[in-house]
Amino acid sequence: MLQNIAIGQYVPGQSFLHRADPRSKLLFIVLFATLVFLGNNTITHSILIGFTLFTILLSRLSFTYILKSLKPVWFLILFTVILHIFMTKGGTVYYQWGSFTIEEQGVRQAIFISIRLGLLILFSSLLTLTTSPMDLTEGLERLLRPFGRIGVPVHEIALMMSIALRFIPTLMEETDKIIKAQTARGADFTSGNLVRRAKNLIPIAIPLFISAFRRAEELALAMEARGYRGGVGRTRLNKLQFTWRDVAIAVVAAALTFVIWWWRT
Amino acid sequence: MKPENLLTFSDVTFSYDGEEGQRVKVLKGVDLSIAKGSFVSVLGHNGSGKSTLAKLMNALLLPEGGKILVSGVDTKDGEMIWEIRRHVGMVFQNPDNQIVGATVEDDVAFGLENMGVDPKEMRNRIDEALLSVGMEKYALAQPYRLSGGQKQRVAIAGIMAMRPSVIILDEATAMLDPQGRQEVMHLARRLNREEGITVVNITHFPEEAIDSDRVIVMENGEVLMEGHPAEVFSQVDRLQQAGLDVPFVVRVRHELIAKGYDLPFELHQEELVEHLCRLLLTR
Amino acid sequence: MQITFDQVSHMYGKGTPFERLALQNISLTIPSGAFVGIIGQTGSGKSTLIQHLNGLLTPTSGKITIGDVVITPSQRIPHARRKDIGLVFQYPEHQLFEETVAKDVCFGPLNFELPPNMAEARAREALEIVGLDYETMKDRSPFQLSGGQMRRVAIAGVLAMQPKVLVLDEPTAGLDPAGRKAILEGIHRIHREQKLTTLLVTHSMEEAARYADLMLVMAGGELVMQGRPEEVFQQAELLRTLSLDVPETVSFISRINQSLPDKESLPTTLYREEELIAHLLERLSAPKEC
Repeated sequence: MLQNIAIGQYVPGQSFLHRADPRSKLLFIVLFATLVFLGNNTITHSILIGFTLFTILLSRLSFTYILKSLKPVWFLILFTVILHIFMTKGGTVYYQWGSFTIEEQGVRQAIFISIRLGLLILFSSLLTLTTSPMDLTEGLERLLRPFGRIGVPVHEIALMMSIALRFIPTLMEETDKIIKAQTARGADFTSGNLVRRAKNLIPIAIPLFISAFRRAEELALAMEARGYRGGVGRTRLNKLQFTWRDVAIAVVAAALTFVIWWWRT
Repeated sequence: MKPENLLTFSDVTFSYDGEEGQRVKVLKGVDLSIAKGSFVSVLGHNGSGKSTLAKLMNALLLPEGGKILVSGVDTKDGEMIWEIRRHVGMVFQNPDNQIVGATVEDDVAFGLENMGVDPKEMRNRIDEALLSVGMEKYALAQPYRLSGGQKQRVAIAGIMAMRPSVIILDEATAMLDPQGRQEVMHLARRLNREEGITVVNITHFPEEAIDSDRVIVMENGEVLMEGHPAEVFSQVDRLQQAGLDVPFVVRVRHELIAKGYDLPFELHQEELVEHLCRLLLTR
Repeated sequence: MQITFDQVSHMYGKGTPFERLALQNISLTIPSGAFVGIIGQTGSGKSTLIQHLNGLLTPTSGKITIGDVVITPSQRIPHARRKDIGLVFQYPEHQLFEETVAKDVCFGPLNFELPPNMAEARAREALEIVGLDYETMKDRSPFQLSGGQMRRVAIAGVLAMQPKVLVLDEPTAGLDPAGRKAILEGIHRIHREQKLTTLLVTHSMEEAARYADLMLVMAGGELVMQGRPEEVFQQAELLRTLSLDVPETVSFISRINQSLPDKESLPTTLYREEELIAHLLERLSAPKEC
């Protein structure tokens, strides 16, 4: 049923990763991305792989479930691998066919690049798997707050994002209902060519847009009634709090940076 | 001592642009006052102007003519608009379209955030407000998982956190099932009785109006009747002409006295049953 | 059309972590031409039940027979037969989408391959049934109508398919008393005139009492009671444990009977308001026995 679909990929839980502050997690990801590209030899890559596996264990999520996050991007990884295998030259020639060669550097780069991409994707899906969209929004807002001083409407963007998140399940339910109502009136959404099918979407799209606009209008009125007047003078319910977990993350971050720095060549 | 009036309308008019470009008058000179601490029901069929009335009460709309005072403050006073909205909380009809927050507590926080309340103080007020509507267990729940009645209670908590003097229920029970309707009405009654909140309940369910302190009946942009529920509901014909229902008990008595039987006016089943049994046994 | 359910169950999200049994072994028979009131709390399975009637949901197990159409987990309803079962969803005005009222009402008939001129005739008829004048309404945009009018247009859109079974999910939700009455009276009229089998899902015991001649009571995905309204309303205690109420007429009578000697009790079958009042008048005017 639609109402049971989780928003984003979030899987609720109580692990260390679930309970860490989203800000630490976001910052750590930025650092991790840098480290992944700083690492340039077998040792650093092994360390990073080991670290990622450790983090996955820490999340207490099923390994296969997390690996699924690689599914939509395996093609991208494959493509870069092929590109590097054939294009990057240097070192021993493993295979030759006319002017066409596969050389040591190419294989090495291909392996490294695919590891880097894979680790980045695994790590960021760990973030979305262990952080609720609400916390993520709030974490982002907090981190971006300094940009508010240079005129970026951080507050409004954050509010927009959280309202969007709030209305996703409502609108999904609505879509389900409209599809059913039109099906009951004999509409057919599955047969015909592409043009025909696109045309068949009109009886769903129009009611959905109208409903979304009506909801927006009513919501705006309700917000106004509760004294909303833009970001000026507004405070926020302080929910994010750094704990020992975040101190631990900071220590690990420093250690990991040092280790990678030490071993890179 | 005369009770203090929290809301006063004097000769208020309002109109909006109709379909064919002409102005449609929704309110034609409304005079009314709502006493502090009272529970007032506003009845009227769709299009009678009762929702416009609600929106005028917290300056979502401003009157075209006449004057509206909230605790003595004119709603046209631009400086005081935020204070007025804090004082006059509104619960709307569609429970889905008034919840802003992605969690229950985020939603309750919304009004407080708008007021610029200190985050620490906010925490206390949210917990207090959720407790007062009996939703404290749902603080972290996502609103779409709640029932309609629970959503409306969250909306009321959002208002309670702002420490209002009056809550306006603008057909807040119209989209709820009987259980949800009961939850919301019980809560409104309790807040009225225990916390001294003035309640204005705009509805088309006559049963909801039985236990009010006062009933105002709107018809065609004017106040058709107002008074104690007994005074209003005893005028069955007038109400029915205005396309309104009367409570079951009133209907039954009305039919019986029309045939010449002598029954005193009652609003509750218990009393009518008592009179009727006496009549049945002594005839 | 006669409708039977034989041991029908439905499970949402089968095989996922969100698996939920929404209907459990439902067996029932609705005779052709019946006006059925379906009551039960939100989430009791009423909506799931009615969506099985025209194949929007298929049973996970069991068998449904509607007229001569059989629906089982492996046997779906043929598309052409869908038009026999008109389904009016909650807040049906939210499904309007066409530029004009006439076009919107014709949507159903045209989907079932009716020639345009016949579809128009059907639209005219359907709009008149719900109390709207075809000539004045046909070219108007449905979105410029009042809420009550939009609802009627949406219901007309279902009636224009000329279903033999009419299923309505809370058709009066959110309307004022006058609007509620107009819609229900209209439905009741075509129910009689066209000999439809009508299923009305409602939260209002009064509506069920007024129109239904058969009632189904749902709770927790199960059918807990079925029978004539007077039979169902006799079980006031059971209804109360399901957080359901009895109509005011019924509680009124039981209150009266508590205060009257047994031999003077009112019959508990008087759940319709007019009948109750008529009976009271009769009792009051009759000379006292003994």
